[in-house]
Amino acid sequence: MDKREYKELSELAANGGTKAFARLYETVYREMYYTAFYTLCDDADAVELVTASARDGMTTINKLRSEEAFRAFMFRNLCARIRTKLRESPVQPIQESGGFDIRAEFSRLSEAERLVASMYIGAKLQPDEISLFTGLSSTAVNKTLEKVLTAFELD
Amino acid sequence: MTVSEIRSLMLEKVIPESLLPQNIAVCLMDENAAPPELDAFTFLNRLRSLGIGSADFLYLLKGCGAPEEAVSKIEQHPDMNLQTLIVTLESSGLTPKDYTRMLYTARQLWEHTITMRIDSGELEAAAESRQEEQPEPQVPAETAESAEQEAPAAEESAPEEPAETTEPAEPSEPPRPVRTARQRKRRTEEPSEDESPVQEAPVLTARQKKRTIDDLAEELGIAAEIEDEPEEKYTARQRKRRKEEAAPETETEQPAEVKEDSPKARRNAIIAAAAGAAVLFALGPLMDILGFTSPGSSGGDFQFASDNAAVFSEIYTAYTNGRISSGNTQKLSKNEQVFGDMLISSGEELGVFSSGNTLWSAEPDGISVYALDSGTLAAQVFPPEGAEFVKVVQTDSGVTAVYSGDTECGLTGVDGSGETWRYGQSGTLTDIFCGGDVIRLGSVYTPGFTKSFTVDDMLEYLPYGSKNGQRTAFSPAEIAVSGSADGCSYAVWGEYAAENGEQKKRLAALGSPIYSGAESFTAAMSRENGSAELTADSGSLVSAALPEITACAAGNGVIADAEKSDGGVTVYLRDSALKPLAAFTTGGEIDQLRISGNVVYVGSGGSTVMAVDISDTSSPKALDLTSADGVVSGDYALCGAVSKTGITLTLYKLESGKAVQADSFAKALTASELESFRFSGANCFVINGTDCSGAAYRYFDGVSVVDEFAELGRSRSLHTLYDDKTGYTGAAAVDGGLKLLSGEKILN
Repeated sequence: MDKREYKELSELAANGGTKAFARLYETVYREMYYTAFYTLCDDADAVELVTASARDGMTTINKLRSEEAFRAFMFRNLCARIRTKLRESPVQPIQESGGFDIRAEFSRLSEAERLVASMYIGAKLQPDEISLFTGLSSTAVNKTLEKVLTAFELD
Repeated sequence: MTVSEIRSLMLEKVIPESLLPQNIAVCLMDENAAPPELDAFTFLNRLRSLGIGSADFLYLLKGCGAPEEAVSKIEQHPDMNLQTLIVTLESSGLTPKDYTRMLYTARQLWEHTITMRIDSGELEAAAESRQEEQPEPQVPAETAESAEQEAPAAEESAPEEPAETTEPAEPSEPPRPVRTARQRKRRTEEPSEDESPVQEAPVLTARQKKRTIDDLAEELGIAAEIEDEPEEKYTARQRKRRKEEAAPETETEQPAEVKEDSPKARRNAIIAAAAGAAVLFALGPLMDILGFTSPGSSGGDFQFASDNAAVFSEIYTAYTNGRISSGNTQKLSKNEQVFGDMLISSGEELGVFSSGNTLWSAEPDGISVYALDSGTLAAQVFPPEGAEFVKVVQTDSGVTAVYSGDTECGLTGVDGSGETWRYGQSGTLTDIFCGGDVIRLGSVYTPGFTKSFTVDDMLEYLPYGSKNGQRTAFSPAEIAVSGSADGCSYAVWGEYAAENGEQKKRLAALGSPIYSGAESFTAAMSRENGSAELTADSGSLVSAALPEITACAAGNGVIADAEKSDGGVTVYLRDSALKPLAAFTTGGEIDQLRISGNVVYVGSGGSTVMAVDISDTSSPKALDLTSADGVVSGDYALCGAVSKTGITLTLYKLESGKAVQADSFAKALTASELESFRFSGANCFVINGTDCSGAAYRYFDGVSVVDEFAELGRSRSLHTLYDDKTGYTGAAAVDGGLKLLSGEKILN
C-alpha cells in the first residue's frame, strides 16, 4: 500500500468509513490473530482482543500518519491487551489430545515465550519488529526466541 | 522439526469468520449512530480523490445553491490556497448535507468523465449534433443557471437513492448515451433496450439510470470541458488506438477494397475486370473448353480448380448473374459450455494466463503483458485494425490469440517480452478449432471487387493467407470450384501451428458459403435452389446437394446442419462422408450451430436454445440444463448469481457428470447497492480448485464505488478498492497465490 492510498483510506476511516478501515485492517489481522491465539491459547479470547484492538484502531486512525504507524499501534495495542488478559486469567497447560498439538506445546511456555514465539513463528514478524511492538529489548527477544526454539527442538 | 514446519502447523488454525475484514466492519459499526458529517476539509479531500477540477467544483457549488458571495470569491481567486478555501467554505453556510449532495453529484460526474474519455470520437459527434440542435451558443452564465436549476432538483434524493436523481432532469429529447465500442456492441445485441430506454421503462435498470445520470452531467455542460483536453487523459492503449485511427492512410496492408462494398460497386468493378481479362484471352471459348456451365444453371460436384482461370471464370459468371454471397454468414458462436447439468456462459474477456515471470491478460481489444516481479505493464498487443481477439490459448513461449475482423482473421502470438508475430487468412471467422499444437480457422470471404483486375491480379479475387501483413494468394489446387457459379465468395480454411503461427495447410471453396468449419475443411454453401455441403474426407472432396441450410457446424468428427423442410427445421448429424447418422427437430428457427465435445449447441437470435448430447451419434439426446453465468476451468466452474438480497459465488466441481458444489461465498447487499452491482467480467474470475478461487465485482454503496474481490479457498478474504476509477481488471492464481490486476499494474 503506498502512502497516498493509506492516506485516503485513513481519512475515509477517520470519517467513519468502516470499509476503508477494513482495508487497512486487512493488512494486519492475520498476524494479530495468530499472535493472540497462540499467546492466549484460547480462540474466544483471541477474537475478543483482536476485535477490541480493531475498534481502538478505528478511533485512533486519524492520528496514525503512516501504514507503519498503524501497524505498530495495532500490535502494541494488542500486546497491551494480551498482557492485561493474562494477568486476569493466566493460561493453564493444555493436555495434548493425541499426537503433536501445537497449541498444547505453546501452553507450556512462559507468557513472554508464548508472545515472542507466536509473533515470530505464527505471525512471521522479525525480531526487531517484535521488540518494537512488545517493548522488550532486542537482546531479550533474541534470548527468548533461542529458548523457544530449543524447547521445540527447532532447527 | 523446522521453524517453517511448525509455522505451517500453526497456520492450520482457521481464522474465525468474525475477524475477516469484510465482517470486522460489523463489529466497528454502530448502526444506530448517524453517519459521519462531512466538513469542508473532508469534502475537499474527497473531491480531490475523484479528480474534480476547479471548473467542475464551481458548478457543484452553484448547483448546490452556495452563497453567491462565496462562489464569486472563489471564482475571483483561482489560486486560492487550501486553507483559505476551507475557511471560505466554512463561512459560506454550507451544511454537511450540502457537502454530501455535492459529493454525490461529483461522483456522477466522475463516472461520466470516465465514459467520455474512453470514447471521445462519439463524444465529438454528439457535441456536433447538439450544436446543430441548439444553434444559439450557450454562454457560461446560462450554463451556470442551468446547473442551478437542474442540479438541486436532481440532488434532492441523491445520497440514499441515486437512481431517482435522474427523473426530474429527464431530458425532453431521447437520451444520447455515450458508449464505448464494447458497450455499443452489447447494445446492438440488445436492441429493445436501446430503442427507448427512458420512455418505455417506468422502472429503470441500473445501466439506464447511469446513462440518464450521464445525460444530467451533459446538461450541466461538463462534456464540453472534457472535450477540450482529451488527449492527455487517455491510457497508453487508448492513445495508441487514436494514433492508429488518426493515420489510416499509412496502412498499406489493406487496399481500399472495402470502401465501396456495395453490390453496385462490385458489379461495376467486375465488368471492368472482365473487359481487362478479355484483352488477355478469349474468355468465352475458354469457358467452353473448361466445361463451365452457362450462367443461371446449378449443379455439379466440387473439385479443385485446375488453374486460376477456372476460378476467375466462375467468378465472372456468378458476378454477371448477381450472385455475390449468401449474405447470411453464420456468426461465431458464443462461449457457452455444458458443465454437468449446467449451461455456463462466460463474459467477453478471454482469460488471464501466467508463466514464469509473465502474466497475460486478454480482452477483445488487446492483450496486456505484465512482469510479475515489477508488477507493471511490460507490453500491450492489439488486434489488427477493425478486428478483435476472440480466443486466446497459452503456448510454451507465451500466448496465441485468434483475431477476427471484417476482411481478415488469423493468429497473433505474443511472448513475455511483447514480441509478436501474425498469420492470417482472408474472411470473417465462422469457426475455431484448438487442438494441442495446432489451431484451425474457418472463415467466409468475399473479395472487395472494387477495382478492375485481370486473371493475373490474384489477390483481387482469390482468397489469401498472410504472414506479418504480407499476403499470398491461394493456389488453384487449394480452391474447390463447382462450376455452378453459385457465388463469388469463399469458404476458407487454414491450419496453423499454435506455437509460432506457421500456416501448415489451407483450402477454400468458391460459392456462397454460410459457414466454414475449422476442425476439418467443411463448408456449407447456399445455392439458388437448396444448399450444398462439402468436406475434405481424407484429402478427397466429398459434396452433397441438400435442401436449404440455415446453420451448420463441424466438430468431433461430426457435421451438423439445420435444414429447412415443410415441417420446420431438422438438424441432421452426418459423418465425414456427409452420410446422415441421425436427426432431431428443434421446434423453431435456427441460425447457429456449434459442436464442442459431445454436445451440439443450437442457437437462435444470438442465444443458445438447445443443447444436444451426441456422444452416441445414432441417438442424440436433448440435455436438460440450468443456465448460469460463470467460467469453467477443467473440472471446476465458478458461477456468480445476483438475487434480491445479495450475491453468491459458487464453485462447482464435476463429479460423475454432475456439478457438485465445492465452495461458496455470499454477500448481502441492499436493493440500491444491487442496482449498481455488476461482476467485473470473466477475466476477474479465478479458478484454481478449492485452493484459490474467486471473482471481482463492483457496486455503489451510496457513498463510494466499491470494487471487491471475494477470495474463496484456503485464504478466504475480501480485497477491496474504494472509488478506484479502474477497479479490478483481471485476476489470476499464480503459484498458489492470488494476483489482482488494475489497469496497468498488478496490485499485489
